[in-house]
Amino acid sequence: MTFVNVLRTALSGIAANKLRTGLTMLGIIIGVASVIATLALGNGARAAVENSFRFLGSDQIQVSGQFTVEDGEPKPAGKLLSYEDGLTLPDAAPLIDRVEMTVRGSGKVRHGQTTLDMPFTGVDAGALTSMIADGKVQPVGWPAGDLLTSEAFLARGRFFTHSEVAAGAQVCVLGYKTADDLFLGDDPIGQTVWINRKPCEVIGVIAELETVDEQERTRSKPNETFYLPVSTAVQNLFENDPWVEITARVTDEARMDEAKTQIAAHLRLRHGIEQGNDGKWLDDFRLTTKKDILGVQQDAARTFSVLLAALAVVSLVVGGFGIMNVMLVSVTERTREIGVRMAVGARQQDVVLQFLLEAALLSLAGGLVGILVGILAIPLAASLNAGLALLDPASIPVALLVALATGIIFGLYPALRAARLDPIEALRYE
Amino acid sequence: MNDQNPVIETQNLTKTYRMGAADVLALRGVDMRIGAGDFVALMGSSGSGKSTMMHLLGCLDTPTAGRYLLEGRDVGSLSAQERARVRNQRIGFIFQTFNLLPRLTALDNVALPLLYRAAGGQGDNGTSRLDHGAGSRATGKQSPRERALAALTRVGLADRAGHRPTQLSGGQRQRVAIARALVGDPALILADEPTGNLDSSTGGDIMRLLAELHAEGRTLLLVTHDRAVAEQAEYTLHMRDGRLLP
Repeated sequence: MTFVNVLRTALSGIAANKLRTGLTMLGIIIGVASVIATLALGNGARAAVENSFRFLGSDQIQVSGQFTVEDGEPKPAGKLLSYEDGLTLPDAAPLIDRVEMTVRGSGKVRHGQTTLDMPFTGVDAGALTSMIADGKVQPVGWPAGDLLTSEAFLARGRFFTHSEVAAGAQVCVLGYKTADDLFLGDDPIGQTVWINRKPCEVIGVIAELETVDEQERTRSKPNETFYLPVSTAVQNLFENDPWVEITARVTDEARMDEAKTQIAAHLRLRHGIEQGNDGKWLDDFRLTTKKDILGVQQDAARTFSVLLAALAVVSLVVGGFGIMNVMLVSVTERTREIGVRMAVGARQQDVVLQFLLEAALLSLAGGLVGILVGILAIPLAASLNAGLALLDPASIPVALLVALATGIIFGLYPALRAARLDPIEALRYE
Repeated sequence: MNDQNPVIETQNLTKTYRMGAADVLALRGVDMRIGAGDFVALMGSSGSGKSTMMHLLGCLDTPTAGRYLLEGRDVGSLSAQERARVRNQRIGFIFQTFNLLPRLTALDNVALPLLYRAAGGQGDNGTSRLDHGAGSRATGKQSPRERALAALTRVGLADRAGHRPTQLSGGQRQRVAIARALVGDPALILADEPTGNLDSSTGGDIMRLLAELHAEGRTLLLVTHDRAVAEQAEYTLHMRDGRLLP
């Protein structure tokens, strides 16, 4: 029997009992919808992390200070992360090949008669690339979806080189509005500005930027700032040691945990950290990887996911037994038909195939409806999980496969029972 | 009887059923020969073993002992799958209760054996030893539906091809069943009380149709307990207590 004919036979078997078929499919529908919603929850958490921690590469470890809140003010829990901590890290931790450090502060910048007070950032040579990866700001009028380049972020001149950062060169890059306000349209490149009374050569001007998020555009001022090499900023612009943010790049992505141990050992030594009574280290810093953040987010989604997954399993099993039941009834009702088919030459495998396909079609139809219900239920799942649920396109084939497998597994017994009928008995069946 | 080319030849065919603790001897060594083109009636009272005989000849069951040669091939010891193929390609069944599938049209009912043949692997080849005989048609490249329509035309029901069994009269249903038995061009047509569920006038029509098929060269075995029906066959074999009477 050709596949098309088997299909036709199976379809007509299903069509003969529409109400029974619909009720049977209910379990599969709920089960498959739960599968879709469960995977959407995990996917939503993942997408949220991807979105807010875009700057952190999967081969990077973020090192940050621990803060406690006292009287509404954040206070460092121990020693601050210092520039020296970061500078010595690559030598102390073999798995770290380099670090990028950022220091923030505010200072006075003067050119001629004009003095401006504004926040600045001390950065590494890779700061432009990081800014692109972060994806929070973009050049004004940049077409949505277009790929950004470092060049697009520069209006004039260039950014720092690694050697300038290493040497602590007296150079700076101005924000768009800063350059405008200080030089009033003149070319600032090559000119000297005074930052906290120290001379600094302007080597570049950042393009006019705006936040990607339109609601934040009125609050944030991405163009009223300037950038220095982090080394220069730390040496010249702070009275005390400033605290820095450190991002460490690991040489081998598979050895992230090992790298974290090396960093921790280095910082514990430098900060003089001791173990508490319970043997735990009383760290004043925190090491974060993308995987850690993802884990936290997914933990939040997990409780709900587990419930949904349990619902999925229970529904699928119930649906599976429903299919088994309907198929057993169908086999009994059609005993004589099976006998006739055998008499005219249907082999056992033909009969198995017919009933198995019927069960598979039944569950597949339930699966399709279930996918639809699942997609419609995603907003509901999101509302129960802090808005984090996003349809995972891969969950659709997964759900269909689950439905199909349920149909085949639970349809096997009825199909085998049909095939094992004795044709003589089956033909006599009333 | 054509003794040169027997379609059916059984030697000491024996069948024992187990009923609870006791063995029931349904067939006690039957030697039967039916030649190609014969129209034979098999008569016997209930319990004589004629139903068992028909199941064995139809390859629906296997003998406990003895041999069954269909067209010279020993089919008594075949596997279930091989027997299905023999039923599909060499045997046509006509039942007392017609046994049409209610959800299929007349045409689809008739085409059913051909659909199972399509996936049989060997198709029509290899078993068409009698195709050169009288009554066989050129069936080469026709589609199952074309062949089913030809068979329906043969029994005079081409205009009912799209009807479902419930839309047909008893006589018409049996004609559809006969077309289904014919469609695969079998070596043997087994008819089990084909007029048992029909009034005498309709039954007469069906018997005339069977006689026509015989005239076209078909080999028919008619199982019945009705003497009047049996008399329309070429000759009659009688069974009693699991034996063929001389």
